[in-house]
Amino acid sequence: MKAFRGNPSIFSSARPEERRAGLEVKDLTLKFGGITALSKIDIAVSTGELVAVIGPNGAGKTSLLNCITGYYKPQEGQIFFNGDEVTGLSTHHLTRKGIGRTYQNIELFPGMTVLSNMLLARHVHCRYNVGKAALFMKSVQDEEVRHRRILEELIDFLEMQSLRNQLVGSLPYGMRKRVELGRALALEPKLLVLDEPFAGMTLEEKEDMVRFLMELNEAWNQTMILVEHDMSIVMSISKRVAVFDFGVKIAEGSPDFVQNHPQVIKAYLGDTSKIE
Amino acid sequence: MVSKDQNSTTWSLDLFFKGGFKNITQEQIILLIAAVFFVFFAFAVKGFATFGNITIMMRNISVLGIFSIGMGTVVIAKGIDLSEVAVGAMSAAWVLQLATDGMNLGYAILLGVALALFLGGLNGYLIAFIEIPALFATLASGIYVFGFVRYFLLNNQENHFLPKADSAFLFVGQGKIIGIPTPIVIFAAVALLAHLFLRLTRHGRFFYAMGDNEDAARMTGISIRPMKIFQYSLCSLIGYLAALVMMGTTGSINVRIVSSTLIFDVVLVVVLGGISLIGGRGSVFSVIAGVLLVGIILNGMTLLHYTLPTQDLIKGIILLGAILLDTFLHPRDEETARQGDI
Repeated sequence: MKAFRGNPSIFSSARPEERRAGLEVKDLTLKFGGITALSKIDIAVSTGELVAVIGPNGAGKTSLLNCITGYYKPQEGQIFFNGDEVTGLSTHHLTRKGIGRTYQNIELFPGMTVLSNMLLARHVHCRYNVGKAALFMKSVQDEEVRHRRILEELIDFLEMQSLRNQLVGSLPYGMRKRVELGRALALEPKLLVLDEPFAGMTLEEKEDMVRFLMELNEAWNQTMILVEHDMSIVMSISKRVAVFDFGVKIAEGSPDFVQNHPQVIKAYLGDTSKIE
Repeated sequence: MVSKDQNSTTWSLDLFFKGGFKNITQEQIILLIAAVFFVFFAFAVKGFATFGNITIMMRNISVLGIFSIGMGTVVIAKGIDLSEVAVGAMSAAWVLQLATDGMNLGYAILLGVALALFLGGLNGYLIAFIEIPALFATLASGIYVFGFVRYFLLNNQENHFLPKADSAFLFVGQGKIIGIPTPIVIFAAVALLAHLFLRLTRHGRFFYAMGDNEDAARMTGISIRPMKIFQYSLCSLIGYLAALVMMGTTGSINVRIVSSTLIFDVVLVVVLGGISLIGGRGSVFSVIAGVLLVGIILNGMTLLHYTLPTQDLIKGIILLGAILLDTFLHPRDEETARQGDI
């Protein structure tokens, strides 16, 4: 696929090994007291894949994402990222290893502008120290300019030019979702974790978001794992779909395979055999 | 990093204030009110608007100002440190105890730094790792710090005096640098450093980010927990510095200061100036605006011979007014309510 919205250098000039994102979840079990949220989950995502996780409410989809991003610490099982075991690491460590995330209920800094929100994600990559920063020395200025340039490319990519200096708290919901994606991308994630990126959006906003995600995945080889309820989108954009129900993975495969899987139909529609 | 955003609070009621007043900030409102009080006292009170009185006033509010900058940095990150005065004053009292016992004052001051950092770090640990709400953690630590230090390190004494041999230290509170009383210079230096830190360093920006939305900050790659320990240690350190200036002014520390209303004056200054309790807002200028207003009012009331209860009443009303203004300017709508309280 041809890239048609700018040429963000964090994607175009990255070496292939810098974009490598192999995620492997093995035998993952997560319990809250007596409730088993996830039971012996195995799932793998390889570089460049777009994997969707679907399932009815309470199936454990977000719990899985929370384990991958370090919010929950699973009781059993292991998570590997690019060959390293990352089970139980805290969120900021995982962020630095290259796992970026968006949330179901947008988590942004409403009191800051779009640019400031994204700049914070760049500051993780800063190398200058407090003393140099307080004096605002030349090296600091150069580094700030470099980060700002990267952000401008991302802003072009996400078509947010007019929003740059607006307070995030004043933006409509769909736009905030886009800003959140922008912030996640500013982290230069190898693996992008998206929790219901289309929830609460208008049709037009969904179309925009699909364009962005498709281009990221196909033109820039961005690895993604996403949780989503909108089946038409999931089935059209993902290469592989995993279906969860009550904390168990009941099916995994191509969209076509999953759609016709009897257990999936049962999970979503109930036991249809009794109807006949 | 130096982009302008809502660190200074924007007046949201466009309906009432069109044009020039549209973007007036809380600290500007407070500065305006301070100016009005200043003019009022200048006419109403004889001897108020003299150079001597203004210098005294500035010197008196310097200690409060330094304490408030420490508190301000924590409140920006959506915390609160009710033990700041206790940690600062008890560490300073320990310094005097060590000096009285014959230790070199310089070493004693360094040990005081260590104690303040340890107690502040402990606050941060309780809040970050054990996840006790900052309000309760620091309320409790203010009490146990007072008890612990007084019983184990201070021989249960209330008053501690600077040994005669170390009277050179009084320069910190009573001396002058190019004609300006030292406390004012120290306050200005602390304010400048805090301003540079908050505005220009990424760690300063992280304070705002954590105050604005902790989850987002975490996902942005900020190590929330170590940062909290850092914040509370920094606050304690600044509180300790304020207590040293206080000690330099009188040459003594009475540990009863811990149970005085000083900590509430500090919160008053911070909230009054526009460092919102919902976090992520305000700046060092907020503290300066708040401390000027409080300083002018306290000084004016003292010169007018208001009794202490009357002064407390007026201070209480101002604090309530400041919190009302805070609620008014930062309404707890669906956006802010979701983030919960401190």
